[in-house]
Amino acid sequence: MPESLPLNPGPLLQVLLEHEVEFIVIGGVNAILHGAPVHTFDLDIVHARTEENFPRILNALQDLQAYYRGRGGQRLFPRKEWLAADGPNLLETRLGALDLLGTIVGNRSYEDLLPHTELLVLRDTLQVRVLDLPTLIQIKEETGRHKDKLMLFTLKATLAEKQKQQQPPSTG
Amino acid sequence: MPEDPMQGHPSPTWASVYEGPDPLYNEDGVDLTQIRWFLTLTPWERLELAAVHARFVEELRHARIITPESRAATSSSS
Repeated sequence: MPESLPLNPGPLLQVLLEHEVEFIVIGGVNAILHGAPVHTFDLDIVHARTEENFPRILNALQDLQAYYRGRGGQRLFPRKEWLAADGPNLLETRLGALDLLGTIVGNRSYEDLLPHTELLVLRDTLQVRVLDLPTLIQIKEETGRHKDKLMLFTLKATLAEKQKQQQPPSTG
Repeated sequence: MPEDPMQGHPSPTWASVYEGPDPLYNEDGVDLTQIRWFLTLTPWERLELAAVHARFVEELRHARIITPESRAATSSSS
């Protein structure tokens, strides 16, 4: 497998869902799913760090031929104890870059984010949990990184446009 | 040549092409036409487009700039 493959987010999500991994999509792919025309090169997810979920994640990662990226020729396969940590697991897979995060800004875990998510149905069959757009905007604002600030303009405009489209047409 | 549907009508001005109830850009300069178009796609279609974009960027990584020197080197080796 080459060092880096372009992201193919649909099939990548499909593999995670086939292995019944519990996760929340955040970041650029989340923005795209909400209808924001942004570009991204990785899939960012926050995974549930439970005893039931760890084997599912490891099976999915094996299926995806995942290994830690940025380590030259060394191919390190993820371990349960690393997935249990707060920090990011930055992986390369046969379907592109995949980042598994134990927590995100504000030390938010899967459980903390769960009330701020929506279930999105893809291709009538795949149910994927995504962070809702207002929370994604809030998190990007809190992160305060330049790259996030850039995306914020598009995210806010997308939210405004969606709210406008959801309004009933005015009469008269 | 296809028939111009505007033939015989007064020529529209540039500004009139963009006249309408919805603005093209917001105050931050975000192109709202792209957002409106992207929202017409299904979430899966949006993901497919992201994959197309990623493949395109990957192809660009292998692109090279043709300079007069490299052109000369290519033609001399063939």
